[in-house]
Amino acid sequence: MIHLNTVSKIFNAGAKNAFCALDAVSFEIKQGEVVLLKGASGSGKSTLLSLIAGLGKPTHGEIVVGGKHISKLPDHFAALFRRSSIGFIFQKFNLIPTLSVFENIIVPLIPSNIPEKELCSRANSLMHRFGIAEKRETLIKHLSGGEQQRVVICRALINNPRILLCDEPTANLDATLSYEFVQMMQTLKTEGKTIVIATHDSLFFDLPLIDRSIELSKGKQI
Amino acid sequence: MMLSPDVIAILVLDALFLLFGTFAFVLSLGIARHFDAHSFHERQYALEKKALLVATIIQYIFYLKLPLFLFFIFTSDTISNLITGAMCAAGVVNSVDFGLLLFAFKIINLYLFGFWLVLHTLDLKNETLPYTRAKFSLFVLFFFFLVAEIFCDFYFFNALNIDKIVSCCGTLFSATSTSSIRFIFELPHPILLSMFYGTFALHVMLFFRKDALGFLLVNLFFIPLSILALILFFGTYIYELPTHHCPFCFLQKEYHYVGYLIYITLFGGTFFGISASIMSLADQRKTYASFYRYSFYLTALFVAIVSAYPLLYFYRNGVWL
Repeated sequence: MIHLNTVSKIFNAGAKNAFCALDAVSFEIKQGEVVLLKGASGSGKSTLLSLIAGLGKPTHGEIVVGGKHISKLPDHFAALFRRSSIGFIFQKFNLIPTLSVFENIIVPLIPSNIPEKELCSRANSLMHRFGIAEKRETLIKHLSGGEQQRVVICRALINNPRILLCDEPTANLDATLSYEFVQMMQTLKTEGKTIVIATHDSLFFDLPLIDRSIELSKGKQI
Repeated sequence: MMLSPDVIAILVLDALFLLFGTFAFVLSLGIARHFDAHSFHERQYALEKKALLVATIIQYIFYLKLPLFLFFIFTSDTISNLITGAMCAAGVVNSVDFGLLLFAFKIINLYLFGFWLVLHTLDLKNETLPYTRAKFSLFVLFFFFLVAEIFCDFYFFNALNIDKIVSCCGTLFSATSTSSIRFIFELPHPILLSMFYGTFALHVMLFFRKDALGFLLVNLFFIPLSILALILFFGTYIYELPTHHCPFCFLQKEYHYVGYLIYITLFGGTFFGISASIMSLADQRKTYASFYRYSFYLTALFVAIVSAYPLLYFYRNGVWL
């Protein structure tokens, strides 16, 4: 499902302040696996996730996601691929505070011209599933951290992706909400989603949810 | 050198084109030589970034060149008031030895850069970027045309001399012995019009049949034929003067700037026609129906506009010129 071959990422390559965020990272993740990407802050986890999602390009190496060489795709095709196959949960949520819960959830699918009826149906179904249906019209800025996290998950799942990438998903949550998040991921695992969780939260380290761990340190795979 | 605000604007933009064009040219050399869509090497990723940058530069040069061409004609028209003997842009352009060459460069470059953009669009529609090397190799070639045009522009405005008496367009586009194009006036109107409307009929037929090669040849032939028809026949009805054949004067205010509409439809129509054909020939799985449509509509509009003048003249006066 996800294949990385000697992937490196150097920011400001060639300049005096060049910084190597990833150094020859190689691994493979099979369909339906839940993989933990662990490492200290600055170890390259977020960079790696953004490369897998096609949000950035590596400096060197090959990234194949769902059979597509995503590192080689022109921006337009990378966006199409992301829209159809990838859900992304950002560390800082990246929700639009002036939009309602419903509007935030459907935002990723607006460019795909899906009929409004279908959009509503998908969003309502997800809101019911993750317990935020009663907040449908509430603005994001009026939600608690846990509720915002649920909106983020709904938004990541609105395109029914095969792959879910989570960047420090519990960084802004307390212990109870973090545990709730783990349970949600457990449900998604049973549905066959491939999940990559980048975190340094020790809560995840010994969970039965996790099939495998990959550890990074200063951009290198340990 | 004649340095009116209009001329300064043209020269400043030329200087910017030269600066950014040279930058794009240098990067294009590397892309044309080393780009390999299947490579995962560091250099390839760097080249992909550079390709994006260069393509953006070339796009903006084209987007600015398009209105700048019309502005050049407008400026030449304005300058004609200062040059003794010149009545319109034709006199100004002809007052310098290489004026017509400059004009030809400007039109050719618009077509070349337009085709480059078409190839670029075609390239971006494919995941594997199959035309990247080709399009940057072509830019390396087109760059020399761009540089030639820019230098001609500088020399043109430098060589303009308001003390020099020049021939007016009435002399330049006539059958008199001083005209360098007097031989074209030997072509009888019935033959010229048969060719003009026959080619247009062929254009329509090939549009419906989506015959790429035929459409390409018809469009290529239609450009000089239309300019000839404008000089020899249609222009006289726009001016309502049987002896005035200038293809520039109808760009002026007195004729409601109709020349701009005429040339935009002619060049736009043929450009889309040639582009549709080239793209269809390059990628035979697609028909590029929208480009065929634009070509058909613009060419039909061009023919309708130029045909309206003699018909209206006949309707009002009951005679032909």
